[in-house]
Amino acid sequence: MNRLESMEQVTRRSLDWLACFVVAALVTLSLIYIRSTDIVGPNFEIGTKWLWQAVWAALGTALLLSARSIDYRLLGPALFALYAVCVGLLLYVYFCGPVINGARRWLLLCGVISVQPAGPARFVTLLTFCYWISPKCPFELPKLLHRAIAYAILFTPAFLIAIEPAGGNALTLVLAGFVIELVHRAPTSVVRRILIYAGLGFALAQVELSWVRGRHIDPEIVREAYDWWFYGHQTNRVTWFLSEAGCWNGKQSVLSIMSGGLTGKGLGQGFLQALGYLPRGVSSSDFIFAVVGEESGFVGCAVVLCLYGTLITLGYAIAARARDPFGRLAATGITTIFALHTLVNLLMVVRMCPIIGLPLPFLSKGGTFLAMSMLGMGVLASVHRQSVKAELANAGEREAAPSPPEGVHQAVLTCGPFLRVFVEFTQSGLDECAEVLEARAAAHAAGLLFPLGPPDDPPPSGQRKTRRRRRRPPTSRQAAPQREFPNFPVPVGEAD
Amino acid sequence: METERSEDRWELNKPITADAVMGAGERNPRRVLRMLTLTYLIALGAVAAWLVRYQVVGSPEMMDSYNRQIVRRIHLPPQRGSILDCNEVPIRTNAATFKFVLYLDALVDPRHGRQKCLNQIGQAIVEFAKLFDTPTYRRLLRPESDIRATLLANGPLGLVLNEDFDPSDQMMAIWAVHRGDFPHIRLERRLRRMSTYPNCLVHTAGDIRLEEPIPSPAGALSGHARDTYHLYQKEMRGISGLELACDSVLRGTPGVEEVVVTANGLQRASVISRTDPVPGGHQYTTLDTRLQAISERGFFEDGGRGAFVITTCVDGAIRAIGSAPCPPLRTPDMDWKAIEADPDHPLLNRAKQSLYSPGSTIKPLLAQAFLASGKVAFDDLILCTGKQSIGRRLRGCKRAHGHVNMGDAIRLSCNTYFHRVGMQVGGDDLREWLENAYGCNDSEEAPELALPATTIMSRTGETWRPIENWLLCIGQGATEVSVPVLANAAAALVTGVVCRPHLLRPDPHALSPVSPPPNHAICRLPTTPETRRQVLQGMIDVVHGNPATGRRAKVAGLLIAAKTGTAEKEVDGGSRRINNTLMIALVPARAPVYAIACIVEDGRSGGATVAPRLKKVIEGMLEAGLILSDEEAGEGNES
Repeated sequence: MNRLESMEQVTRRSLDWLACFVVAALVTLSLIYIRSTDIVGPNFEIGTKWLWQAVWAALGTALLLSARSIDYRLLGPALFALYAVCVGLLLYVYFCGPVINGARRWLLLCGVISVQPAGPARFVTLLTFCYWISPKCPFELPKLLHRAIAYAILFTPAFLIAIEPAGGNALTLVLAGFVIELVHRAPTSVVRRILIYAGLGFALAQVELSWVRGRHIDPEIVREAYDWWFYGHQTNRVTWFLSEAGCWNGKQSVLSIMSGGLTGKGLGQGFLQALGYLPRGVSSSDFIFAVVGEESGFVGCAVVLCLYGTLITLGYAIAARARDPFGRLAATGITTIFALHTLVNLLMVVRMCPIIGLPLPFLSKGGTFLAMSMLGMGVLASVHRQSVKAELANAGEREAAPSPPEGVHQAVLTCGPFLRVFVEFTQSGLDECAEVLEARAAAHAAGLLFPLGPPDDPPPSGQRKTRRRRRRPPTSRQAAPQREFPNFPVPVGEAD
Repeated sequence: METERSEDRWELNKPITADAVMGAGERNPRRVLRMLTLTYLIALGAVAAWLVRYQVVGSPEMMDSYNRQIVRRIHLPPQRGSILDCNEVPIRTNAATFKFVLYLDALVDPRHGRQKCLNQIGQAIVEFAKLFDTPTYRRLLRPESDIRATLLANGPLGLVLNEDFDPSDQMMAIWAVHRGDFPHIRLERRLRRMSTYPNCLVHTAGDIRLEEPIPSPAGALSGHARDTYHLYQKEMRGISGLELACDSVLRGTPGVEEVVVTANGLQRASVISRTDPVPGGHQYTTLDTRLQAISERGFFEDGGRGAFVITTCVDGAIRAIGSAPCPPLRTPDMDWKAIEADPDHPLLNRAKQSLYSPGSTIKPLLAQAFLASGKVAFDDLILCTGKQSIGRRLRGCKRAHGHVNMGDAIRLSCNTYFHRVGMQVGGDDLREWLENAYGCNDSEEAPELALPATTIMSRTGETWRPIENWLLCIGQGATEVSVPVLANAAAALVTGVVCRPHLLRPDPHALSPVSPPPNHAICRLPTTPETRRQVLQGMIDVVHGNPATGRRAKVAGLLIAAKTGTAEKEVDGGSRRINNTLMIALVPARAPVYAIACIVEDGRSGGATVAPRLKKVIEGMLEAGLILSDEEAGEGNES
C-alpha cells in the first residue's frame, strides 16, 4: 500500500476526530461572535453573558467525550426509558411549565437555569426510533404494528413539541425521521427522484417568490389563507415572507450580511446588532449568521459554510461506514438534524424561506441545544469508533510493529493537529493511535486491504473482554470465521 | 410469522452475505447518504451564491436602504455674518444665548406605548422645571404637541425646552448643582441676532427669522413629507432690509454631520463624518451709525411721519437713512395686528419705498439747467408780481417779490421766476436735465435699495402748456422722486456728477481685490464750477440770507447751503390735501461733504417744519465731530 492510500485510510479512520475538530472550530467562532452581540449599557460595553456559552461548551465537550467513549449499542435498552422520561417532561412543560414569550418550552432549574426539554427529547426520540426500526430491536411484532409503533414513537414527541408551540423543532424531528426511513427502506431511485423534485420545487418556489413579492399582494389575503394552518405568529411570518419589505428581523439580517462586504467590518464592529436594529434577543441565536456576515464579511461566511459542509459530509460518511443499521440510522438522524438546522437557518437569514426559528448548531447561543448537539456528536463519534474497531478486528493478526514507517507516522500527524490535543487528553486516543499504527503495520506487512467485516464476535460467556493496553508480541492470525463475501477487493466505504 | 426483523436482522453468528450488507433489490444506503450529502452541499452552494451576489458584487439599492436606515445627515446651521457700518461697527451681529435641550433617548422605553412615553417625558420636564423660579418654570414647560412632534420625528436632535435666554448666575448655579440628576438634558449655546442700536435702522437693516431650510409638516403649510434622513436645525434667514438683500453673503455655508443612530433613531452612536459650517461673511455698508443715531434723534424725536437720507457728495454713499415711524425690533410676543392697523403705517419704509414730489427743492437743479442752457444769466432780473393766471387758477408766489435774480429766486423760492424762465428755456430741456439729475437713466441700481422709479412731469401735447411748465418748475404734479435720489441730486449740485445711491461697499479686508472699486457715477451734468458756485451761493442764502425760507436751520459757526420745499398731496381719495415738507442741505457749505434730504409728511412748510429738525441734526454732527465748524476748518487749513 502506498503512502497516499495509507493516508487515505488513516483519514477515513479519523473521521470522528475531524468532525470534532470542525465542532471545536464552530464552538470557538460562536464564542467570538456571541461576545460581539453581548452589548450592554448605553456605551455599548461588552457583557459577560457569553461566558455562559463557554460554560455550556465545556459541559458539551465533556458530554461529547463521554458519549464517544461509550459503545452506542449499549444505549439500546436504555433508550426506551429515556424516551419515556422525555415524553413525560414534554407533557409537564406543556401543562405546568412557565409561560415565557407566549410559549411553554422551558424548565427552570433552581429558578435560574432554563432548559428546553425539546432539545434532548428530539435526540432521544430519534435514537429510539432508529433502534426500534433497526434489527437490534428486541421486540418481535407483526410488521404493521411494528411500523405503527415506530411512527407513534416519532410523532408523539413531535406533536408535543409542535403544540408548545415550537413548530420548527417538530418539523426537523419529523423530517429527520423521514430521511431515516429513506435511508433505511427506500430504493435509491425513489430517493433520487424525491431529492430532484425537492430541488426543482425549491428553485421554482424562489422564482415564484420574487414574482409574488413584486406584486405587493395584500397581506390580509395571505393572512386569511394561512390563518387556520398556523398560529398567529406563524401566519405573520408567512405573510412577511411573501411581502416585499419583509419583517423587521428578516430585513435587518439581509442588510447586516450585505453590509459586511468582502471582509466585514471587523470583530465587534457590527453596527446593526450593536445599535439594536437587529434585535439583541435574536442576534446571538437565530440570526448569528447575520452577525458573522456583518463582522467578517464573505470570508467569514464562507468559512462557516465550509465548516458546516465538512461537518455534514463527515456525518454522512460516518453513517455510511457504520458497522450496523442502528449505528447507520442513528448517525443519519443526528447528521440530518444538524443539516436541517443549518439549511433552514441559513435560508431564513437570507430570506429564502420564512423565519422558522431554528438555531445554527454549535454557533448559535443556547446552552441546551449546544449540549445536546455535542452529545449527538459524541454518539456520532461512538458510531464511527465502533466501525473502526470492527474494521481493525477484520484486519486479522495484529502484530506490533517495532516502529511505524515514517510515512505513516507523518500521515497520522498530518491528519490534524487536533489529534495531538485529543490524544493527550484521553487515554483512549492514545490506544487508538497505537491500534492504528499496529494495524497499519500489520496490513503493510501482510499486503492486504481491509474489507468491511462483521461486528466483533461476542466474547465467550464467562469471559470478560479486556482492553489491550500494551503492545502484544505478534501472534498467529486467528482463523477468520467463514463468510460469504465477494472475492474481489472491496475498499471500505465503496461497496456499491 | 415472518416479521420485519427476521428479514434483515444481523444475527451475530450467521455468515454475512452481500445481500445482508447491501440490502435486497436496489436499496443502497450508502448511495442514498451520498445523494443526501450532495443535496446538502448544493443547497449550501445556493446560499454561497446569494452571498456572492449581495456581499461581493453588492447591491446599490440595499446599500442605500442600509445607509438611510442607520445614518442621519444633520445639517449644521452656519454662523451668520455681521452687518458693519463704514467704521466697522456692527449694526447687526450675533450674540450667544443658551437653551436647554432634552434628548429623548434616555426617556423612551421601546416596551412602552407612545402615550406612556409622552407622560414620562412630560414628567421629566416638570421635575427639571421645578428647580427654577416661576417665570423660568413656565418657560420651560412645553405643550404636549411639541413633545409629540419631537418624538414622532425620531431624530437625534432633541427637544428644545427654552431658548434665547441669558442665564442668570442663580440659574447657572442651580444647573451646576443638579445637572448630574438630569443626564438627558444639556445646556447648549445658540446664537441670537442682536442689534447694536436697537432703535436704529430697523427698516434698513431689516430682520431675520429662524427657520428650517426644509419645512416640516408640523410647522409650515407646504405639506412636504419630512425626510428622516436629512435633519435640519433652524438657521437665520433674512426677511427684510439688508438682512434679506445680503442674505447670500451673510448666510454662510451650512455644515453637515453624518451620524449613526440607534434603532429608535434618538441616540447618536458615532459620527461618521463632519463638515464644519462656514460662517457667513460680513457685509460692509456705507452707513455711519453715529450719524444714523444723530439723524434719527434729530429728525423724528418729536414724532411725525417722514424719511431722511444723508449721502456723501463724492460718490453717493448713504451714510444715514431712516423712516418714521418705525416698528420695534421683532420679538416673539409682538402684537402684529396692532402694528398693521396703525394708521401711520410703521412697516412702510418711506426712505426706500415712497415717492414724493420734490417741491421747491427742485429749483436749484432748474437754476443749473437755466444757466447751462445759456438763455438766462445768473443776474438777469425777472419781475415777480405775485399771482398770475395759469391754467384756471391764479398761481404764483405768496407775495410779490419784485425784481429778482436767480440767487434771490432761490433764496425766496420765487415760483414766478422759475416758471417764466422755464418757459424761456423750454420744458423738454428741463425735463431732460431733471432726468439726468435724478438718475432716471441709471440702467443699474443698487439691489439693496431697490428704489421705485423716478417720474418727471411731461407734456401732454406738442408743446408745453403753461400749467405743465408751472408744475414742472415748482416740483409738483407728476414729478416724484425718492428721498435717496433727492439727496444725490443735491450732491450733484456741487460735484456736477450724479451718483447712484448705494448702501454696500466691498470688503476692505479682502486679500486681493477681485475687481476695481465700483464706480457709482451715473452721468455728468454739463455745469461749470462757476454755475455751481452761483447756485450754491443761492442755497447758502436760503439759510443765512434775510429774508430766507430756511433761516430756522441756521447753525452758529457753520455755513449751510439748503433749499426748502413744500409739496401738496391729495390723500384719503382726494378728500383732503396735506403738505409734504421737504428740505435738502449741503454741509458744510464751504466744502460740502454731506448731502441731506429730509421729508416730513403733513407739515406746515419746509422752513417751518423741517428746518428746525435739520438744525438739530447738524448741531449733533458738529458735536460728534463728523463735520468741522468753519472756524475749526479755517484753523486746520492754516495749520
